[in-house]
Amino acid sequence: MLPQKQTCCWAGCIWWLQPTLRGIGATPPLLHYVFLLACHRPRCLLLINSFLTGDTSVLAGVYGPAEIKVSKELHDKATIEVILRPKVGLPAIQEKSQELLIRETCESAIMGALHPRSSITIVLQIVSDAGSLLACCLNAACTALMDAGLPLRYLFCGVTCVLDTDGHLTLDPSSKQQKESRAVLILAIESVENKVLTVASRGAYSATELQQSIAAAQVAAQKIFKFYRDSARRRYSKS
Amino acid sequence: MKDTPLSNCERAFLLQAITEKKRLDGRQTYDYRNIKITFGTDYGCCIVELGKTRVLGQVSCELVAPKMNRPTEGILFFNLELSTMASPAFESGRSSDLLIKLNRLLERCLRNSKCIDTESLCVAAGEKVWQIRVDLHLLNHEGNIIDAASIAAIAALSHFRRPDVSVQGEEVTVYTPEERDPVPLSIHHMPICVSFAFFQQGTYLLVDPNEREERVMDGLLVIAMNKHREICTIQSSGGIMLLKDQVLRCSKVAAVKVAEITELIQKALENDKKVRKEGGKYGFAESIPDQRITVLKMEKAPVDTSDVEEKAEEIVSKFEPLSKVVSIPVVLAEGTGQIGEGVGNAWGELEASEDEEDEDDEYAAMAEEESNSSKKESVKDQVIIMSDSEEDDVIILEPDSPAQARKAKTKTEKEASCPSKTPRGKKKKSGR
Repeated sequence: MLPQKQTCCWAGCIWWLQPTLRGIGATPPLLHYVFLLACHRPRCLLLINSFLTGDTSVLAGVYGPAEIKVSKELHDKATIEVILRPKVGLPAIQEKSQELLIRETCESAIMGALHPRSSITIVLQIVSDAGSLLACCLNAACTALMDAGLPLRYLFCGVTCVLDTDGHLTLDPSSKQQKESRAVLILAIESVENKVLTVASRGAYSATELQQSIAAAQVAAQKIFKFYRDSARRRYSKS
Repeated sequence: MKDTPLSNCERAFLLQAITEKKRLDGRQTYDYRNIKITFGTDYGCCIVELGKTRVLGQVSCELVAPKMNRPTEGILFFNLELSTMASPAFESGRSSDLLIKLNRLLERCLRNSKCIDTESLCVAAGEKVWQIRVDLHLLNHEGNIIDAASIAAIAALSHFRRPDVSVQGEEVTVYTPEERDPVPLSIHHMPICVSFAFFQQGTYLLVDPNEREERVMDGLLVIAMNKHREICTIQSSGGIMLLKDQVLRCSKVAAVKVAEITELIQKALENDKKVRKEGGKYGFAESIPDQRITVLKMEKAPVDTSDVEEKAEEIVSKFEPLSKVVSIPVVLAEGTGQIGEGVGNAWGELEASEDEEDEDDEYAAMAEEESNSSKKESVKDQVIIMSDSEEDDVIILEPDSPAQARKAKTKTEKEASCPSKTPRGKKKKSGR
């Protein structure tokens, strides 16, 4: 059973309207998509953008295709490296596992074979975490890749779904909701066929609930892709 | 990734411009770039922008046991990180000389100047003190990291609120922000670093060098000072000889700059406090100007997810239920279990059927098995080769029972001649 038939979407940030938790009159979390700077170093493209969903924000930078150490080079495709930096302390196991997840998602999207024996580095810096962090990282990584002009097979976006004990589904939860939930699903959806790229989950859920989450994420992904498109259009509105 | 070196003509051009008292970005000698301080939604989080140099600062705290020699003092910890994001020349996970130098300077500027009252961080003497950790991340490198970092550190520290604690006898209670308002740190003064770059053996001087200027400079003088005109740290690097007058002049310039910056930090803190008090919007999201083309804010847009449920039901119902697998383990022999459909385990019959070979040497069995597997393909016509390979060993090993050996030999030959039968026999032997 779903509590409400309407969700609210602030582009990357989809908020299931829950009048009990979050009044309709509450300050709407905005999503910003910011390109802060482009640096003019030869053969490398750096761009930093920050993706804020509500209070969660992540900065992403992309370098590449650039030269690479011989030990790391792959002869048939580009080596993709993802660096996720936590805000406090040094990167630990959790960051490493998230890095791997993001890297695998990016690897499927980037046409690496076009840049053999080179490196593509994606640096993600967590600026603030108020829930749905991994989804925000995925969004930031994708927009960074998009703005860097790297050839991609498709765009992708991350959507977080939480299921509480009553089976209610909430999209884009806050960290409190995430903690109190029964299961959390992070889904990466691609833009061409709307297929699922990555699923990361915690907790127990049924097959029906998984399908529900996927269906909800696919609808939400459309909004995010529209936002990507709008922001890219705005970026190149002056030429 | 390697950094691109500065070309000779660029270098010459920059130096030429400096001798003509011109700077590439149009600043005067003593001008700072624009400083912008924004605070995040969390306490103790800020981003300082010095021109295009950006530093993210975050303060966090933790209750720890104090150092043995200072039982009543809290611990301050500074950590500046130069991430790859700032410049491709910075490698993650490697501490360069520059990083060590910057961290040390920051420690001297903020910890050794005793700007934070560490005594007030003590909860229970000798048992529990607050450890304050300041993490600084360089987000973009456009020169003068140390100034930006020191501003970020002191702004974050002044913005930070630690949870309130109460001590009743032995018991220490830490209150959540909902229970009791968090308390700010007690800050005595705000030391701020000001950098001076020297060119041509100290003839020319520039305040707040940018990245290009840093590359061509001969020496750097960093003065950390507070608004009371007290010098907290002074460091000269690059190996230039400075005259007394030069240092004094620099300290005078620094005093002016520090006063300006301190005022700016205080204004930013006040603004943030006011907005928080009034319940307005705060955080990074609010500080981003939304009229730029690189910024897009999107208001809420409804998503119709009414068909999600039906869709899910449909997909689930489309799937045929998986064929039932055996969920109850089939126990074929004591100590074994099996789930799913497999071939019957032959291991259980082992002891009963093979009494004839019981006295056989284990080596013999293994040798046989080896010869079976390796020469499974060498069929009928190679029987002679087989018999003289490992089979001989068996005979040599047990010369007093030729009948037994013969039996084993014939068995192998039989097996070798009809390889279809081998698996079962092999299995039996390998079990031994």
